[in-house]
Order: sequence, then C-alpha cells, then structure tokens
Amino acid sequence: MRRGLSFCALPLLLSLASSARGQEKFALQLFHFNVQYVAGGTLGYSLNPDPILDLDNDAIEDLIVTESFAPIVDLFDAHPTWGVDLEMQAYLLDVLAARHPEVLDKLRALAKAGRVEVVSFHYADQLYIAYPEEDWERSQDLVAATFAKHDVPLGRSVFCQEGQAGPALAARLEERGYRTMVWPKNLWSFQHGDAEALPLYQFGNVFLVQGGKGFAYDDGNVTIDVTWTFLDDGELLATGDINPYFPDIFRHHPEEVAAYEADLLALERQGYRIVTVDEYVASIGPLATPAPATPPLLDGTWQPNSTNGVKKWLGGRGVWGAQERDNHVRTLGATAHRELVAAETVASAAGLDARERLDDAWRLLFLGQVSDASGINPFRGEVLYGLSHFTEALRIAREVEREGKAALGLGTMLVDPAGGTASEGSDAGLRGPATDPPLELLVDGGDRQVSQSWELLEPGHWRVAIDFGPGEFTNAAVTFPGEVEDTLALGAALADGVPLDITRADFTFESFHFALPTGWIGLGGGRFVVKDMGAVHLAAEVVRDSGDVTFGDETMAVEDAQHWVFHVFDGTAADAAKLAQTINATRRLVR
Amino acid sequence: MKRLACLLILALGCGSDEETVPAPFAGTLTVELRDRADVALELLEGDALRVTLTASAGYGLVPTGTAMIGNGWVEHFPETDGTLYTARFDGPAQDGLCGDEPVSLALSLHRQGGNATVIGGIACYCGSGVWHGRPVRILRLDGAIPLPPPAE
Repeated sequence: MRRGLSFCALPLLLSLASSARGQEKFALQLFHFNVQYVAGGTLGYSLNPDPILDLDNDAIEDLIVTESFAPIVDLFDAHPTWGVDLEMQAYLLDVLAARHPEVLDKLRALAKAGRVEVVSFHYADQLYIAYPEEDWERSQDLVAATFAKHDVPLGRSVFCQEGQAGPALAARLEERGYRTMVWPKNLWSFQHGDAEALPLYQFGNVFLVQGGKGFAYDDGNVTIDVTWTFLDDGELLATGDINPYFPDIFRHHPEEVAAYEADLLALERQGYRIVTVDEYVASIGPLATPAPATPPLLDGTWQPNSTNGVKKWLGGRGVWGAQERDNHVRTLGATAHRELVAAETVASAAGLDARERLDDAWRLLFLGQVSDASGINPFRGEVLYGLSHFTEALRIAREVEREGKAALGLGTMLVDPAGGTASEGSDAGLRGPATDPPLELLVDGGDRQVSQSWELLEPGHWRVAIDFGPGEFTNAAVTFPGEVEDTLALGAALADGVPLDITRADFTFESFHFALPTGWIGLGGGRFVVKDMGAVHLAAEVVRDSGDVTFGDETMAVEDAQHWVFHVFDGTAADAAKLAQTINATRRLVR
Repeated sequence: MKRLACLLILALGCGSDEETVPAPFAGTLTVELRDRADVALELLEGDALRVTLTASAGYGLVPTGTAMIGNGWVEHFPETDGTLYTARFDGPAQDGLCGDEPVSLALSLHRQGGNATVIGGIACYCGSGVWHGRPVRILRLDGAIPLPPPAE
C-alpha cells in the first residue's frame, strides 16, 4: 500500500492512456492519521530514562501534528486543483483546537472548499469491530458533535483505524449519511484472492471502492485509469518512513514531501485528476455502472496476512510480548461497556442528572478502546493507557450507580439494561448447578494448572469456566469441537442481534480470525459458543475445512492466574445472537 | 484518625486489640512506567476504602514525597471476578497543567481475581471537587498489591 508500490503500476496505466475513446484518469490518496499512534506517549519506551525519548502523551500528539500532519495539509493547500482524503479519529480535531488552532483553521478552510475530505468514523482509534454496536453508535454521535463543534465538514467516505471493515458497515454508512466505503485491498484479497478491481461497487445502498488498488478499466466506451498515490499511515510520508515511536528522529523532511509533490505533478501532467474519494465517486457515476454487489465480505483489518487477521489485537503476541495483556485490555473494555450501559439504566430509573458524567465516561471508554493498547506491537505504556482509561470510566460509572441506588432506596440492586430497570434483587442469572461436560474441550495451558467447571443453566445452555493458574508459559488456548458445515453463523461488527451466515466455499482463506463483537459463533449442528467478554475476549480462529473454533492467548502475564468463561448453547443462530447480547451487550448486573 | 493510628501501629508490627480492623494491604506501584508510588489500601466499614498514596514524582499534578489520604470504595464485579479500588484526593495547586488551580485526583485500580497485580491510574482534573470531565492527564499505575491472607 506504500506509494512506491502504487507507482509501480504507472507504466501500465500510461500505456493505456493512448486510447481515443472516452478516457478518465484519477489519482487517489488517503492519509490515515492516528494521533494515538503511541497512546500515552513514549515515556518508558526506551530501556533507560532519557528526556529526549521520554515524551508524554501530549508531546507525542504535538509531534504528530507538527512533523507529519501539518506538512501534508500545507502540501495540498499549495495546490488548489488537488484533492486528498485525510482520515483521522475525531479526537484529533480536539487536539488541533486545543493546541494547534492554526492547523485546524487551515484544515477547516480546505475542507469547506472541498479540497480535503476529512474522513472519520470513530471518535478514537477504537478496535470497534470487537465491541458491541452501542459503543460505536455513541462514538459516532461524538464524531458528529466534534465535527460540528469545530465547524469542519465531515467527509462522506469511510476508512478506519487499522483498515477495519465489515459487511454490516453498508447499513451503518447509509444511516449516518456516508456514501463510500474504502475497503482495504489486502482484506479483500485475503478473503477472495487477487483480482482486478472495478471502478465502483454497490455496497448495500452505498458504494465501495477497493482502497489502494489501482486499475485500468475498459468497457468499450470509456477507459478509467485509477492509481492510488498513497494509502498508509499518514505519519510516515513527511517524515521519511520514521514513526512516532522514535521522537528524536520523527521529523518533517521537506525533501520527502517535495518528492511526493513531484510525483503528483507528474501525474497531473499525464492527465490524472488528483481528487478525493468523494469526488472520484461523483465523477465515476456517469461513466460506469457500479458492480451490482461485492462478493461476500467478512469483518477484518487491512493487513490480515501480517497481523494474522485480528489476532494481533485479541491474543496475538507482538515484539514486546512480555509487556502485552491482550485479554486483560479487551475484557476490561467489555466490562466498562457493561458498566456504562448499567449506569445509564440506573441514572434513568433514579431520575439522576448524570448525562454529563456519563458522556465523559463514554469518551474515556472510546479512548481506552484504542486498538494500539493490544496490538500490533504495543509496549507497556500503551497497554496501561487502555487499562487506565477503562478504570476511570468504571469509577465514574460506579459512582453514578451508587448515587442512583441510594436515590432508589435499594439494598442490593439488580440492574437490567434490556428492561430498563433497577430494582431490589440479587440474582443476575447466567449461573446454574454443576453438571458434566456436554462436549470435550481441548485446553492447552502449558505449565499452568488448568481446571474446568461446567454448569447447566437450562436444557441446551451450559456455562464453562476454565481456570489457568500462574505459570511461566504465556500461551494458552481452548478449542471447542465443531462440525463442518457449508455455512457458518456468527456475529459481525455493528450488527448486534443479526446473525451473519457465511458460506465457506465463498472464501479462499485457510484460516480466519474473528473478533466477535458480542462474542458468539457457530460450532455447527445447531450449537454455538459465546464468549463471556468480561472474562475472555480473544479472537476466534476458524479453519476453512474444520468446524472447530479455537480461542488462544499468547500474552498471558506469567505472574497472574486467568479465569475464562464461555457459554455453549444449542438453538438457532438468532437465539444465539440474542443470548450473546444478553451476556455481553446488555448484561444484568447486581450492584 | 483512630483507624489511621491503628494503621500506623500495624505498620510498626505492634499488636492491636481492635480485632475489627482488617490489616491494610500495600504495595509500591510504578507511575508512568518510570516513577513510583507507595499505595496502602485500608478497608473500612462495608465497601468503604481509605487509600494512602505517596508519589515519587508528580508530573506537575500530584504532590510528591508526602502522603495523600483519600476515601473511596472497593467496587466488586462478581460476574467477572474483578475488583476496582477507587479514591478521591483533593490535591493542591502544583503549578503544572492546572496552573494555580487545585487538582482533583481520582484513583482507580483494577485487580483480576486474586492476582497481586493491580493496574489503573490517577485521573487528574483541574479545579477543586472536579471528578469528571476531560482529565488533563491520566497517570498510569501498575504493580503488585498482594491481597491480605483471609481472616481466620
């Protein structure tokens, strides 16, 4: 996806440029900026204290703005005929407003002129495909509010942190007024192999383009040449591929920007229009009919080959493996979700004026859900960034609950978010008497002591707790045996409660990792497994030609015991989805 | 003050005839990966908690070298076997990110099961009695505070 690779396609495109028929040439560029690139800052990243390397959160954010973001804004400001997509979490606008207002002013002016499409789908760079839909809905509300507050037009195209994408985004884009999904080309090819891209695809009632994949299209009447000049971390272009983990050398190199500028000028001379994705889609409409539909697509991220799908964020070990705590980070994020949903319920039931407090806590949740707290290669500071934002969100939520409980005069409070009630009670359900295992799990705990305990909640519904004692091994895994069937049902991102049925034969991958935002996936034969995401939130590995599902963690802290909980459920996919929501999206809690 | 006196007595290893007072449990945590904070958790009646925190570095927000005492709660999460320890500290102005304003310091620490590891932070809010909003900084904490042995 680097610009060097993109330009390799140029000679081919140029050879096609001689056609006498209608001919359109577009150059697209999407800079993915993440002001949480080193969430919490580089403080503690180096082995020994060093004032040059030990920069706090705000100092790193400032460097990202001054050394990498502002130079790109300036570049496109200097070329009134060019367009560019700048993708970011909405939080970056807050950073600009607070500490770099001159950059925000310039960005606003360019966006209002249609020369920059400011792309944003989440308030923070959240791993949103791993959490219940409500988190993204609230995050999206804050995106809209933040863009309005800073008077910056929100772009109609969508690209996301780590290139997250999923089939249900089609409906969410339409609902929120977006028009085009930029689907990462590598996520596409990982699922369907490498094939020539088409100019535009229908994606539900919106459009889709393959991000980063240039092509030459010819339908006999018109030729359309598209090249992507950039689709990558925006921080890397102006700094000569240096990232912010190295703050001493993460500096704006004008010659790098000049070289890129020269590339674009050359394209312009060759007849390419340098445009935003939104302008491209508008231009292409009269020229080519969108492909009627994409092939079936699955949730994922933009470099599935190197990150093993979403595994890197949900149990996969990176280069700082001993410092990682993927399951702790993601389970506490799920716990914070449940608690905030419960606090909302209590506040409503008690008639508390807690809106401001809860909005602040939700915002902390979004920041804590940053993908970089558990992947790709998080160091301890980023892990702690995620966890500390979750604990503060939890503190606020529990204070609201305590206040509501007192106002309601309750002794032991049962909160039922689905029912919207907070009442006297001490039975949150989801427990049952001990029973024999209904199926044999394959559990690998290395040198750790492992135990299983099964409970029967009702006929066809079991709960299993798997305990791992402290040990030296950082790896553990559990495999649920399944039956291979032609289809597989699971929960997809931003579509809680709606089963996604996929046909295995539609895909080319050998194995695939799913985040499972509400925790459930099919085992075949009408059986499902559901993660209790407050206890275990690891990627589910599906092998194309097996019905088994494996959850593995390579980041277990050696000094800590672990307690994983799953539910096994026999029934329909729709009922499994509903149960998963009960467990993970709207959990009944006793407080 | 009575309980604080008791805490000091226990810390000195002396006996006490007040059997109702659980022993405090304490540990040294890292602050922002580089610095240290001594943290003692004292269980009070019910789920009430008193926390004593002494930080080696304050980042312009937390007093250093002096013990701060704050009150909060032990928050139980029976559905996940988790525990959250919270406390509020009224911090004086430190001439840092909050300028001449006092700093409200909200502690939150999470423990999984019976593990000694606790992780969380101190959310720093400018102003007195400000316990939510946009923290000017969250100082990250991690380390071990072993649970006390179960009472006999």
